[in-house]
Amino acid sequence: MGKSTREIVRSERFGEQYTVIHHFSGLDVLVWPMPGFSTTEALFATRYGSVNTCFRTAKTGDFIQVPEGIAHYLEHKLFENEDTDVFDLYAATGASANAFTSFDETAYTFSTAENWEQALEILLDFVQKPYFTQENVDKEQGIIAQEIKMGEDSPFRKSYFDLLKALYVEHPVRIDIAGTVESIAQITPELLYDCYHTFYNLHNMVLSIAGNVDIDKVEEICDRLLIPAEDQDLETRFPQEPEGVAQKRVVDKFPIGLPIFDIGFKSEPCSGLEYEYRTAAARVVLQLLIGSTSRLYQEMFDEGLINSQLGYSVFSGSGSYFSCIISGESRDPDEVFRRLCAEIERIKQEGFDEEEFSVIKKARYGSYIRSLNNVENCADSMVDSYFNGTAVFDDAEALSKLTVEDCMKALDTMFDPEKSAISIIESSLGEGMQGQEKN
Amino acid sequence: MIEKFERRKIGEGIYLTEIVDPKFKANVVRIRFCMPLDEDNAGANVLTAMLLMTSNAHIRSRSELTKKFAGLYGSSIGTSWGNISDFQQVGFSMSCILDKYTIGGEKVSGEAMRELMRCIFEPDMTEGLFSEKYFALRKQELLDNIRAAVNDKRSYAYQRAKNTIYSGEPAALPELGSYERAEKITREELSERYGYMLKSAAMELTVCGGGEAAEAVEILTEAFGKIKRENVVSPGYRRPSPLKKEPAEVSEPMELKQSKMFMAFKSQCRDIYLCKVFVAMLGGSPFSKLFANVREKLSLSYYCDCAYSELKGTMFIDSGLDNANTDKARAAIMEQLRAMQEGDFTDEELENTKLLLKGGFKSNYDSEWDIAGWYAVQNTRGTSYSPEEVAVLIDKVTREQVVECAKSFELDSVFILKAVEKEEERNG
Repeated sequence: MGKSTREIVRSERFGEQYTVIHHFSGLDVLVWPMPGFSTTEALFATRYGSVNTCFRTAKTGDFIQVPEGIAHYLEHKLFENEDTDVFDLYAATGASANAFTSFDETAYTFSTAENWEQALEILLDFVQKPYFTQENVDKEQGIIAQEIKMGEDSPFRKSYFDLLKALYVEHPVRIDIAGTVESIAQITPELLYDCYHTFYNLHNMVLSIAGNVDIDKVEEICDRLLIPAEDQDLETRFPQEPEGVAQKRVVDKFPIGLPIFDIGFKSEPCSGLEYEYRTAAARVVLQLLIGSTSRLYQEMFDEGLINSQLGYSVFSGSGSYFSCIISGESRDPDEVFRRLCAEIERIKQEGFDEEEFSVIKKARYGSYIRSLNNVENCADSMVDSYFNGTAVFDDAEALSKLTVEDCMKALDTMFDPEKSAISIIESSLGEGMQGQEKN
Repeated sequence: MIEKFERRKIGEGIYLTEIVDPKFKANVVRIRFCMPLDEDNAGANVLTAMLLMTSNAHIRSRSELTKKFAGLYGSSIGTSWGNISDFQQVGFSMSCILDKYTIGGEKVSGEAMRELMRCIFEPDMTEGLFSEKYFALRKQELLDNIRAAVNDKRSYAYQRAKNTIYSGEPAALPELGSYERAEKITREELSERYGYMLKSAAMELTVCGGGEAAEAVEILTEAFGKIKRENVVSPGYRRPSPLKKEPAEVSEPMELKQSKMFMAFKSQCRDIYLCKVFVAMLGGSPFSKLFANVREKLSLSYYCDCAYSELKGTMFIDSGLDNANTDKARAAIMEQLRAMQEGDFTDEELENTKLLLKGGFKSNYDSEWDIAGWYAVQNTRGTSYSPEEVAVLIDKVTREQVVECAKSFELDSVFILKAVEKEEERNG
């Protein structure tokens, strides 16, 4: 058994720091004490999400294909121990426990203002103790089927996933995180164990804890409860994704009051520091292009083509997908898309305004400062940057070094109208019926 | 922890709360105007607030105003609205980093505050009327928002359910009023609403954050302290909703995959914190009766949650279900309520629920928005308890009280937004 070692990650600029414990068990433990804060936020996360449906390890030999939605299913099932429900254990601590599955990550979380040590013990214990039986797997089918149906009733979610299907030809981000009622029916206890033993290996995981917390105490609890694991040479495989999009435009209908749209620009995936620089540039470009201070926003707002519901984000992960997405409501989403592409072409010719660039950079800096006030955000950021192979403060460093030239380059490489798509949800309600629904 | 908490009157019906906790790197400013909720004015009140945050007499362009705040390190301003019991609250919020965190120590917070005051007190008006251009745009946005209320099915079902639960009471009204009324709003009307708000709305102002608040407090005190006030609204928020003689049953069809069911129960129990303990035990946690039985044991739904409006004395239970299971779920919910009424719960369940609630309250200290919101809610109750003071009240709740509290809740209404298939799916 080796020894644990510690590493400090510090930002002189913000006067903040956290500690990385390279634990002898194989797990890296990230601890960010935040003096004055009452709560403790913890995430025990694995680099395993809905896109990981094809993988192999030294033990499996060949690649295995598993049903869609199994990562999310596993997340639900891990809350049942052999002898008790995990929520009942947490209940005695006062902690609020939860979990989530994304495209490329599953995390088990708790938030508490009391007894964080006991809550951490429960977290480390149950995540390392799977218990799947035919009976408890069958029982979950009904609950997850209702979760899937709830998602199917959301026009926003439908529009978003329709866009991903339009942008990606082969990549499994095309598939809903929860899978389908049909795909989850194929899940068995054996498959869940296969996935668990593959992805819930401490070398593939991270523990992040921030807020009211003590580093030595965390390490002592980890020493007691983490079961050392051997690296098993996990390899995940994604289909070859073409550069172009699958479909330029996709339309669906829903009982809604005003059409909803998502517009996406697909670009090359990346990871590590390159990811931090590209993400920082993409966010500033999005704000300059269509943020509320931009020329395009003002024009479309003044014409009533968009309203203040307009939003944008960078969608990326696992070093295998990267897109910039713009979402909103409009009476004429196709016209919004057309104007957006035209504006990109104009800026490519004329360039960004230097003064606007510095205003946006300042605004993003202010937003970053505010985010350091939030315990949950600090715990989440440690996991995100860890899985990306970077440190929390690297994104702020990337932002500080960003130039207008970087943004022009980003516009060229990340906002290619040829690699873009639009998803639209139109209203299935007639004008008359909309009147009835409004009251 | 909090170094300073002070609430004082700075004008007739105008209160200013200052909260300082040095761990925060920013300050938030919350300004809330409270008025009676009525169908005729709900949309106009919101539209007035939207226009005040769009431009002002000095910066008559929306994008220039947004740029001004962005240049002050993204000191964003926002408009909010919502119903509180039978009252409507519209307001403005701003968040600004402390000057000591700006690059090179720039002073930004005072200027951000002054610009916010210009928005409220020096509106973009010509001859007493709001800008015609922004009036038309924001009015259209208001109409769009009213239409878009149907987009989020769960919150839409909640609004429709309130129509039945609070039938005949102001609280039944949607937050933005009706589409038909909003279509008729005029600029002249908004001038009147603006004057009314400044003159008569009850006002709650809050500055909360890491300090450096003296300038903001001074600016607010001066600006609001000199308003001429008359017929000031005195909101008595606590307006319990009367229990119906017979429970109302309403079902509305919609193209959905899953039905959304809301059950409402009303009570005469006026002990807020006792009711909170009972409601959390019934359906406010992953170890509650409803979670353990309706979701985990019967696998009927993904969520089956309880919420409580102490001001209306009403508890809501909402869940998403297959049509075929709505009766079964309803019976299971009633069975769990009965279990609580018969004292079929352990002391451990009671103590664990208290622990969860107390921890949740304490966590408000970790966000300047949350702690400002905590005291805003306290104001609606006519108290100013800290999270620790509420924890003491929670600890005093006994199992006998919980049983009595459970018995006091009676079924008032059941509303189901009923899933029907799309036409093409029906036809195969």
